[in-house]
Amino acid sequence: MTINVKTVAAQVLAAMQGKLTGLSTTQATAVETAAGVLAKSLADIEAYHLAKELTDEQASDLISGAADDAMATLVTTAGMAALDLKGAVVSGLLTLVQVALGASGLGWAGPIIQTAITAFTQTGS
Amino acid sequence: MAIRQWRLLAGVGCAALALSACQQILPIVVAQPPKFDAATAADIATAQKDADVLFAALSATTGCSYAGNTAQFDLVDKDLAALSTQAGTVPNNSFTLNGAGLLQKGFDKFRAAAAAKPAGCLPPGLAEDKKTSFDGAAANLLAYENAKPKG
Repeated sequence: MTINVKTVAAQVLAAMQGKLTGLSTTQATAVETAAGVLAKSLADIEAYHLAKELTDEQASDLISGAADDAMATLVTTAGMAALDLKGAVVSGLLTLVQVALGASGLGWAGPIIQTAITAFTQTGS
Repeated sequence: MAIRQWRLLAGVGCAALALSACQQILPIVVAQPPKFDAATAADIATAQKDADVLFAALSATTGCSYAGNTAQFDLVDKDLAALSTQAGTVPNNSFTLNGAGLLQKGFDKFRAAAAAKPAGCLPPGLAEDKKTSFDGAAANLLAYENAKPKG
């Protein structure tokens, strides 16, 4: 089973927005775009990992890198505090852990994303 | 009359002292926003251009291996390092520095994933995904740079 990008993007967006209050239109658009890009990247990585075209380590690196890009996109959005943004992205990834673990046959993704979250929070800005 | 003048003078003196004290304190309390830096903007554009060349090569059906593209990986690494160095020369530039650092970290992880199978190619679509997220971050970084006060 593969992750539905639209469903996940909506969940990631909701998780991110839940951590960010008082967003301007520009900031909200930046968050929405980053959530969509992140969700698509994760869905593609998941699909290739499921097809055994990526190792666990490769998938973990790619997921962690996608999270860094999302953070890089958001951190320069004026007026947003870096720590809140980190919380937003981590929250989005945590949502994906729940989605991954809740879907049949996707239990493998949980530990990988958790590893990425750990790496992200330990080395974040 | 003379007393009133002295009082006025003393008042002006106190006000001047208070203003002087404010000038000492204000720079600490209210940091000036970072100024636009043309060199930083150019470094962002260069990194994006070189990264796009790399992502296009990795997305191709031939010549897409990590081993065949290490020089371009090195070039993007060099561009991103130069960007961080340049951004560091601008006072109060923490958002740009953070953004540049995260872009570098994300690229390093992408490189590690590609390097895990040096002779092979990443599955199709992943280099395009990376291009989308890298370009999005770079574009936002550039937009933020251009929004900074000039001069």
